[in-house]
Amino acid sequence: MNVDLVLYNGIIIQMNKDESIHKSIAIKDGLILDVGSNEDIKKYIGDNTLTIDLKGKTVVPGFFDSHMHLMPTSINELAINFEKASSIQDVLDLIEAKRKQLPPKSIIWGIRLDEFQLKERILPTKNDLDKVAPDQPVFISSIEFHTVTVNSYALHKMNLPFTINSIEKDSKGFSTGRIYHHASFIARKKMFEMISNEAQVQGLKTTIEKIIKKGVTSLVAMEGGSLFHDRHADFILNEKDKLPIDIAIFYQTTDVEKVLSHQLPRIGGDIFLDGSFRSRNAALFEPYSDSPGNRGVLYFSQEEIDEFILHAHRKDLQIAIHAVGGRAIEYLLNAYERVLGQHPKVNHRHRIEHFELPTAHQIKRAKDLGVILSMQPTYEYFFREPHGMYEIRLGKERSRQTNPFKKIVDAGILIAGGSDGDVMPVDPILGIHAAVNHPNHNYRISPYEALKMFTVNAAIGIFEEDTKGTIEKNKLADIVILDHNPLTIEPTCIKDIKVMCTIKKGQILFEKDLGEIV
Amino acid sequence: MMLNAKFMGQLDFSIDEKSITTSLSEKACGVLCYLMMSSPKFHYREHVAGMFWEKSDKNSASSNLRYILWIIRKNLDSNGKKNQYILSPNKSTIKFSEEHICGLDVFQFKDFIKKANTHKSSETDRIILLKKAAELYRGGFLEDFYIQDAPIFNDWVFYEREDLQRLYFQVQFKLSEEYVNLRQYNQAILPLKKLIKIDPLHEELYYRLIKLYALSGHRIAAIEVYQQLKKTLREELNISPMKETQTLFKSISTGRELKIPVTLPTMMTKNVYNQLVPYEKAGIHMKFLMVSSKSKLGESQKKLKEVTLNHREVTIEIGKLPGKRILYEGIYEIIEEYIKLLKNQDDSSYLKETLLELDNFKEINSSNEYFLFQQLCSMLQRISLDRIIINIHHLHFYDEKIFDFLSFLSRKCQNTNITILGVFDTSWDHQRFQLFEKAFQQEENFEFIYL
Repeated sequence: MNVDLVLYNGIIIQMNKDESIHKSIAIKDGLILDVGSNEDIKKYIGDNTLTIDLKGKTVVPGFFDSHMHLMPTSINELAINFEKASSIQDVLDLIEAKRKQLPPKSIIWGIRLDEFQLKERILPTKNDLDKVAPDQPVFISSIEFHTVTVNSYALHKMNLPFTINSIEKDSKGFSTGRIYHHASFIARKKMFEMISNEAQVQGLKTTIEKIIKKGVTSLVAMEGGSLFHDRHADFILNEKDKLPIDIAIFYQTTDVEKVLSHQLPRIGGDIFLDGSFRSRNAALFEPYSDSPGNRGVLYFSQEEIDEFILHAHRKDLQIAIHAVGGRAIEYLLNAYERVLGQHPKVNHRHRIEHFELPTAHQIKRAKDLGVILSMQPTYEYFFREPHGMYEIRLGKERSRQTNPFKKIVDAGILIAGGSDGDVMPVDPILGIHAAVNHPNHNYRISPYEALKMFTVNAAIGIFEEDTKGTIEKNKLADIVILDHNPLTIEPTCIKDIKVMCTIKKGQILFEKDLGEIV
Repeated sequence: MMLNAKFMGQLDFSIDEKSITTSLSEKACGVLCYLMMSSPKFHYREHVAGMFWEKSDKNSASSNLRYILWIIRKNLDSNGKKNQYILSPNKSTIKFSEEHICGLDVFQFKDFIKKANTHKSSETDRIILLKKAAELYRGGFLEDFYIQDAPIFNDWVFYEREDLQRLYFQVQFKLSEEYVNLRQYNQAILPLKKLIKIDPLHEELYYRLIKLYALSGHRIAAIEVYQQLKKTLREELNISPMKETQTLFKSISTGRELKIPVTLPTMMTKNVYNQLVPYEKAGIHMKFLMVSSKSKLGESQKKLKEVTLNHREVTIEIGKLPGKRILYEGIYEIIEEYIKLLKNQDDSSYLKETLLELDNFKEINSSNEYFLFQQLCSMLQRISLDRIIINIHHLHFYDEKIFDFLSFLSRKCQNTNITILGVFDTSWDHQRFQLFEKAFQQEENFEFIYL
């Protein structure tokens, strides 16, 4: 039998139960036909078979990203990134440059503006923004998401109800263009509504291309909800079948009927039970080190989260909820425990997203309940330097306890790895590196366990292990070729591993420096 | 020829019911709108020109304005009568004739509200007036109207838009309350539903609706409104309804009998109280709670005390005890409380300086009154805080000088974040206050709220 594609002379890490490693793969009709030695595979090569001599390169299953905000990431592709702006003039220069690239009257939006990085230490006003873009709407999101700054045109267009009372005024009583709190939620939604479908498609295309280059062949997209827009979820539902990689959607809503009407098998995602460490609203047992008395926020009462989970569980939906701090994790475990006690279900695979600061007891409870943890190791890479964000917020001692991967894995709990893009970059290799090189040595896991997070575990995380997550016969030929073996490379060098080729259902989506394909 | 102007909703000018809006350019509409809204004030031509042609040099702007005024007059003036609408008392000023302002919907709107607010109106009169006012509000002020190179004008539009929207909210709230007073609960529902369309996240509206549906026997509808609120708050803001709303829902769903008050339980008043200190507004702001009963007096004073409790470091509180004040007594009460505030702030050097300055005013008379007021203004401006709040509990007991000072303060401390909160018992005849109210009734930073 002739096949479509043969990869040989490589290190094929199957990620199966036996932890098998082989030399070659045969792929036909988008499925893995066989895995074996170079000799075994020769028989499949025909005139029309593409062959790739891996020359010792490593092959792993196509990566999953188990937690990504695809549409916001795509939209942000077209946004101005103000990370490097150090003054209001810088901000204006960037807007002016963007304006010249766009058709007239197009909406301009920017992200990650941090007033403390500007020399003026204040956000620009609408009068500033009007100087460079008077005739089209401009929206700028601050780095912590709770402030939006707009120009006059956008202010008029938005039609915010004034009774919302979060529109800042100057000494003469005129709006400054800075919008806070609840009004900022509405402003962001208005901004999302103004972005055209064409722009969304363009952003999506760019994002998908980028993540394919990182070896991602399957993605769990958390879309819609209060911080974003339900339009995003609807958009992805319409577009996903046209995309070259697989997208599983968690519709970020508590409206069970809405999810059922879309015939989705799962609900939630990043439904915020609490917030984040950065914004000091992740719900902790003890106050934040840099905010005395502040233990964070719980956005649901126990009764409310119980009610939602019961409703969704009884409708046979897989549930995922965001819980970062210990108090939120406690509430969520209570809810799952109550519901599963009343309505037992084997193999429910309900999830907790983030699970960043659990107690030992909570880890045990999670194991007993059979929940899946969806975690993002890259946070440890970016936030855990000395005097980094974790330490400032949580204090030295407590910051050492975040993301205890080893404890969780040793407890027998499945961790599905993700990025939380685009809060963090979409980069499974970096995620693997971060888990293996966790700043707290006691929490480091092996490269193999880390690799599982982004392959087989992630597939199990959305009930797709029958078709994906490992390199085995009759599974989808979702494959990534890496220039080095993550299992054998010096652990501190894992982040330097390059993706050389991404293959989805036997089709090469991306290839670089692979050499000759015959 | 009758000029009618609709500024609430889509802008429209009409003469004898025939629209002339399309005959006027965008800036002509803007200029005419601005002049009409500010009638009978005079404006310097230079100021109006600068408002609409900010980037042009003076001569060009002036020339543009001249042309625009000519276009406007050409469209408005008729029957051989020239300049009957836009008046130019001299070369440098213009205004819109107050004789013709009655055709402006905003003027009519505010007039109906003012008449409804006078405590001499009967319930029926108030309802008629409030309904008429509500009907005039067809949408936001100059909806979708935006002049691209006139930022000062656009700022002004936004400012007016907010003011009128808030007034509209007050109108509908009051209308609903009036119907409740008459036990016409079904009628009381519609005004609130109209407001929800504008602000679907305004929980107090839902609270009222839920209660009204329950009181009118529509328990299922009440429950549905609560479910809608819960869903909306969760989807849009990821929050739960307030405890009060949840408690109300529980009462209704368990079939507990709701108490029927004569007026709806203070959601409007609560709304007023919630916004006693307008944090979002910079500069000076004065709010007077005009109460007509002892219970309302007590309630309002209680709210003032809560403000003090929550803002102890920045609040000056006077008039807690009843009794008619002698001349200047109110001024000295403010000074005494100010000194206490300084002591609490532990700013001894500044305190010493202040006491020395005040020594000059041991004897006040008409010749040094100005300087005393000026000194007091400087003192308030000098406190390095975000906002100063002055609570006056029994405003009706105070002498005329307190109102002279408040008037002085509004002119001299425009850019200082000062909030004045006063409770005034309307059963007291206070001529000086009546003049004060008349003078500032229409001013943006003054609110007279009748409870």
